[in-house]
Amino acid sequence: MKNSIGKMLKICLSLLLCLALSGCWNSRELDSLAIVMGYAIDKSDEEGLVDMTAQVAVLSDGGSSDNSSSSSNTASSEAYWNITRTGSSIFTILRDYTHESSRKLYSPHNQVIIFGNDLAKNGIRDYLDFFLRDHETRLNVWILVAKDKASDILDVKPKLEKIPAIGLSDLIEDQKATSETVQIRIRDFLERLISDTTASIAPLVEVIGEGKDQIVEMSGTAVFKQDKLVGELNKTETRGLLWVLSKVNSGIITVEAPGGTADLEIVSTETQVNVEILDDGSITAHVKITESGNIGSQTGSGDLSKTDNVKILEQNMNDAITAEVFSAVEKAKELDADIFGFGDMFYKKYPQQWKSMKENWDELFNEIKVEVEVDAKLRGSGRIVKPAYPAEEE
Amino acid sequence: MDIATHKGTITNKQLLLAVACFIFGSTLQSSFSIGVTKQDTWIVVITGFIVGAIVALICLTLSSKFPGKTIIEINEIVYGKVIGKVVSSLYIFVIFSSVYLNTRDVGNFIVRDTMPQTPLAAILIIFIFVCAFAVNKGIVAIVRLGFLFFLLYIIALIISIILLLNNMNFSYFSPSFTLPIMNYVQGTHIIGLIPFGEVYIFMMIYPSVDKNCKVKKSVLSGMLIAAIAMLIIAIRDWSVLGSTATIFKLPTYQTVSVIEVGETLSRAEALFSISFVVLLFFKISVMYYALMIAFAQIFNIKSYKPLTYIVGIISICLSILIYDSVSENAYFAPNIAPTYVTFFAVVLPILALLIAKARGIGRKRGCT
Repeated sequence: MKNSIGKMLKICLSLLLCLALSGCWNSRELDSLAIVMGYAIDKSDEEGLVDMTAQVAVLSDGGSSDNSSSSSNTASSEAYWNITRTGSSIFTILRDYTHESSRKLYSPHNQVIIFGNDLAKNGIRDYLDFFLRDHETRLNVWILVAKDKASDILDVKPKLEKIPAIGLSDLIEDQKATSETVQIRIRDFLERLISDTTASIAPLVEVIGEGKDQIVEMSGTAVFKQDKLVGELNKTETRGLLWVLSKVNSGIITVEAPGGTADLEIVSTETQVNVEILDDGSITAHVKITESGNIGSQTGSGDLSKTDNVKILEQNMNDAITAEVFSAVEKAKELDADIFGFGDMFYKKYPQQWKSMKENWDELFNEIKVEVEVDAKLRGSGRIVKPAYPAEEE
Repeated sequence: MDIATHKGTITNKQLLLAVACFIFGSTLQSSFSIGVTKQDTWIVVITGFIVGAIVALICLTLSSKFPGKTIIEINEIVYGKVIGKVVSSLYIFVIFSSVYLNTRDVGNFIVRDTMPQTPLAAILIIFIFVCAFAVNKGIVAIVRLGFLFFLLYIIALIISIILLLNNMNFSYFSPSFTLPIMNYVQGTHIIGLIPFGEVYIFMMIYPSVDKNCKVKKSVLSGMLIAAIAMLIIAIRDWSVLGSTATIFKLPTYQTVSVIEVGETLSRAEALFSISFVVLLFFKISVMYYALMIAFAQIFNIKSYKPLTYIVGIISICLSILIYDSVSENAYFAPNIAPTYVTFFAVVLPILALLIAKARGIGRKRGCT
């Protein structure tokens, strides 16, 4: 009898242990959190300080699903709240928010970090440190650079989503369809930041339009030298860069076709880059791109199902891709920024020679000869084989 | 149950799994060498295993000369009563410090990465008391958990690899063999002696093994399994994180935090951290048990049980006091700890072997 009471007591005690599973000192309930969806960091008007805007999701009381149907709280209550404070560092500002916000900011669900143009020109390394160090922030947050002020981006209410930061992060995910914008997580940015020679990159965003019609647009790539913004690539140059990085997922290339033009959809790609030091000491990078695509649409009457015409299209595609890559190479040389990571490739292939090359890599990068070899293949033509023209007598 | 001799209670298979789990427990700490050996960490895992296996063989040879005797008892036989006790107390010192240093690692890990405002002491007290409970149940109970933990660990490892396949980039590994030679030596020293060399603590446990003759094979195969797992982890971590691994304190933990499958499966590192903590529990329990047996034998006590909780409380205090700052910890672990282990796992056993040979004591060869 006594034994079974002891057993019951032990079972009860072990059940009580479950209460400790939520943690004790650090248990935080949902209704005590201010969930941050995005941060925007700008240079302040005062010297040496930064403005940081945090976008906090406002959770509605009666559950999220019926929020849209109840018409009582429409314009007055936004789904988000932007708080801006000024301070000397990210961490001090983050704590400073408690003067305004009744709840402590909670970062694990943060989607984007946007840096303002002025700040990026002065270097962003010091401001990234906190996001890498803190235990609450995540390493897969998107990094963006605003063409003007970063906080403006978070003020534009997206047409389809409720919260600007979420709209922005969905927008970045969407960029795979064109491959004209880079997608950079803080992890990728860090990898380039700690490389000796490779230049960091981040997508550029800007606000377009006035008043109620304002929208946010992705517009190319920001190029950093170490951690300082030095220039930007346009959309064509960005895809040229992505070809070399083997990160093109999809996209449309319009080329000349017999009797008109054709829009070719990129379906799958693979890139191999081979760097070499030639006997005469000059350096080359050989970029071999294998691409396969579909005909998405065409203008004019040319019968693109004929082998000869397909050959012409493939040749035009090769030329178009080569041109994109060269536009990126030229821009990179102009900016003196090794966005392709050729330097790291030399380090991997020629670790001995690299020691001397590293010192004057900036000059060497300008002299590097890039050869592009494209092997484009057309795999499909969609549902029709010929454009809709009356049949020709042959 | 006679604590002092403790014969014939663990099977060889259990010993194999126990050795493997014991080394798995150091996975989090295996990152010590990543800052030194960078992309070639996988190489020093292999060389480290070879060094560790040699160290284990030295200890195993000593143990097999005196079947059924722990290192404490061997010391008394080899060096005589007085000097033997002195040497044994050195062993107690080093095993004790292993217990509280590892306990501190658990505390640091939990406090730093999951519950930053929880006082270190709160976590250590709970943790050590669970270990003490296990130790009081005896080595058989601890070792029985080995199979369960082994499965847990292997399954977690396989799942993490499948989920990370997309993020792996094997070009991070080149160029190989380009670092200064001293980096490889230091890396081998760290890997060989911290996770693998610590197996010398099993010298307290070999007497409890059922068929003493097959101990060598079990221990070495356990170490081999653990080495393969560590090799896979080293390759996984570097291929996912690349050079960024060098700035993180716990690259292994950062690697699993990269896991993201669609929008649904992310932030899974808390689940993986359970396996880290559970394996560390196993490692510390084995060390703790070895420590208690050592106490019992050096003081000629029948049962160590009354002492367990006292030793536990002392190790809580020590593990809080041992480091003032994280950087002390970060310096001690790769730079000083391996040297400690070298002395106790290599120098002293070899010395004991030589003296035993000179005095003509101990069994000449092999098992019967």
